Amino acid sequence: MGLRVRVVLVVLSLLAIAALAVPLALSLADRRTAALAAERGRQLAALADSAATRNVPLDRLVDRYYEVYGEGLLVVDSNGRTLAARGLDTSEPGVAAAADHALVDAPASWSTRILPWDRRRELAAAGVRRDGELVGAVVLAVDTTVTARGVATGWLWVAAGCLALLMLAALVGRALTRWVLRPLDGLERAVAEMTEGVAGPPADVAGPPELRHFTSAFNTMAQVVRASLDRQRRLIADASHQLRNPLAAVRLRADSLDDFVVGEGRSTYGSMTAELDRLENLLQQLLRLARAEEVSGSRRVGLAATAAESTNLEDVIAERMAFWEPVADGQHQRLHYHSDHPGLAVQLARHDAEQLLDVALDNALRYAGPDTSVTVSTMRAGDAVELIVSDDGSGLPDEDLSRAAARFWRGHDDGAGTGLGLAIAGEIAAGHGGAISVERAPEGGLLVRFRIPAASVTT
Amino acid sequence: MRFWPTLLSISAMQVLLVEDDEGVASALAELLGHAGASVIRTGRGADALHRVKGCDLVLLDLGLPDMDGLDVLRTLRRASAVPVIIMTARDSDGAVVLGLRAGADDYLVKPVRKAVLLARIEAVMRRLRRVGGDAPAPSGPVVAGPVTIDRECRVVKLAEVPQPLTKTEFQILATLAARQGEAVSREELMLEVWGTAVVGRSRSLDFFIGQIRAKLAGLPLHTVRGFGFRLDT
Repeated sequence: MGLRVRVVLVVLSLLAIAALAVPLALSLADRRTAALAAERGRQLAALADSAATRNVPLDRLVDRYYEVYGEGLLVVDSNGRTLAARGLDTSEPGVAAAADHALVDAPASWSTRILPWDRRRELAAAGVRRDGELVGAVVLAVDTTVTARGVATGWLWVAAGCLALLMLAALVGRALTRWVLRPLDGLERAVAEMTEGVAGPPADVAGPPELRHFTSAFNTMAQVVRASLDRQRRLIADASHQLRNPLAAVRLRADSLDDFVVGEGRSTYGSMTAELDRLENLLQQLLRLARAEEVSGSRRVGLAATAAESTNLEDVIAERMAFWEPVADGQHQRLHYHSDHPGLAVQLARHDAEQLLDVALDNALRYAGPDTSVTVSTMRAGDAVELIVSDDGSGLPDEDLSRAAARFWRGHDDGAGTGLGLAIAGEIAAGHGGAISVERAPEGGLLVRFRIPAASVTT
Repeated sequence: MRFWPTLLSISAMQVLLVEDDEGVASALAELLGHAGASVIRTGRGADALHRVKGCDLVLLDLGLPDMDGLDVLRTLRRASAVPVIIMTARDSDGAVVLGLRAGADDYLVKPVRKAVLLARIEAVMRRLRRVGGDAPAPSGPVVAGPVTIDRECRVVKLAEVPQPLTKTEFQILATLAARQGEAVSREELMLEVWGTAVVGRSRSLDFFIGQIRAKLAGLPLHTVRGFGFRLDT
């Protein structure tokens, strides 16, 4: 928009300047022409007067004029015979005609204006009167070069003035558009930051009043939206925190009840405690999610300093695989590890790396089904490390792959999960500048890929 | 599930339960009551400091309405070595470290299973017993400079002449004499004599110390600045 406004502004001012400058230039040329004509008219009149006087040595007069002015001069009598001439000849075109015109007292009117590029010779003629009778004519070849040069100089000045005006217009246009558009840039940044969930500084309130109103309205809106997002984020943490007390009370009472439940009440009691377990698990996961979200939120604002952390991925994988091995064995599943880059390290605290791996392994072992293999692999991808957990189980249909890492999403046949594991892992990864993706594994099952910034130092 | 050993060790214990949530408190009280302990319940940190005397165990919640549980714990630790188990909803690693550093013997995150809670209580008590608990106070008269303090007979002699001391004065002196040579905090003296671990701005302790010094000239009773008092030999 800025460019367009500037172009329009410059074109408009160009037109305005041209409308002023062209007549100015023409009138300048006219004035110069008129001045020359008047000046030469006076000379001509003086010459005619001198020629009218008897016994004047015409030749000397003509020579003198020629020497002084460098212009051709011709004096004829009433019959058109040359009396004296210097630099001009009746045989030259137009000269005889001009003399004739003067002899019939109709001197050639010389009206064409002199333009800078004109290099012609204008003929001026006047009749010589003696006692009121035309007795001859004086023809003058006026050299217009000097005047043309003068006109050219004048036009150059006009052109320079036009250029200066044009530049001024361009500058003013630029300043004006910047004044209008700069607040828009700030707004654009603020909107982009809001879209990414980053809490940046509010947009600058500047520019024309309309934009000022708009910007401050936007800032207010951004503040409100951010506050409500914050509240929403905190609600999860606060709510799960507040739920702990009643849950603790219920749990203790249920445990106290254990000694008194007999006979047919036993199975009901069993399912009740199982549900309690689920509730506890869900609550714990929610708190974990809220905490991971807090970290990733503060990272977005640019507060987190995570670069100092470095964890050797291989160590973590070996340890966690040893931990999950009995579970896998119990379900006739096999765990594999393979890496083409030994000694990869990531910018994560060790417990975070463990949690990522635990979530993915727990997921794979739980949902791949019996008699499957789960493969953990690491890969170097630019300045990031990819931690991949894949299985050759039944996997997920395509439409579910994109939703699998969303909160509270669970497979249709999943009755025990909270649907938060991958969401928590995703938040943890995001909190350290990484990302999670859920894909179809090449071996058929599900593949969870964490992309985490690599640590420079391997420990 | 039966925890007879636990029940046996918990029975006859006096537990101070500091918990502001009514539901949790009553559930805990009932549970501990079943296990045979007698439970004193309070929902406020200040009350806890007043009622801690004579308790065998403190179950402490950190989110209290009047003061932070950690502050309660820190104050309590200056007065007494009673075992404290924190039981709270705060579960971050930092909170656990803070709680244990402040002097807690164990840290449990709500919700807690009954079996776990009782086992933890038992473990804390067992540890305490293994260490030896409170060292038995040395019996017999304590000699401090020209003063002889006989706690059994409740007699204080200055140069073999019995001195008339009030009950409070004697109690303060006896507490200091029981740990002769050690600095005893103001909080501990307050707890021992007045039954509250809150020192506040009360100067009554200083008043009684002054009285003791006036009555027993030459008693090597020193003030430990910012902490309490010490009785030398």
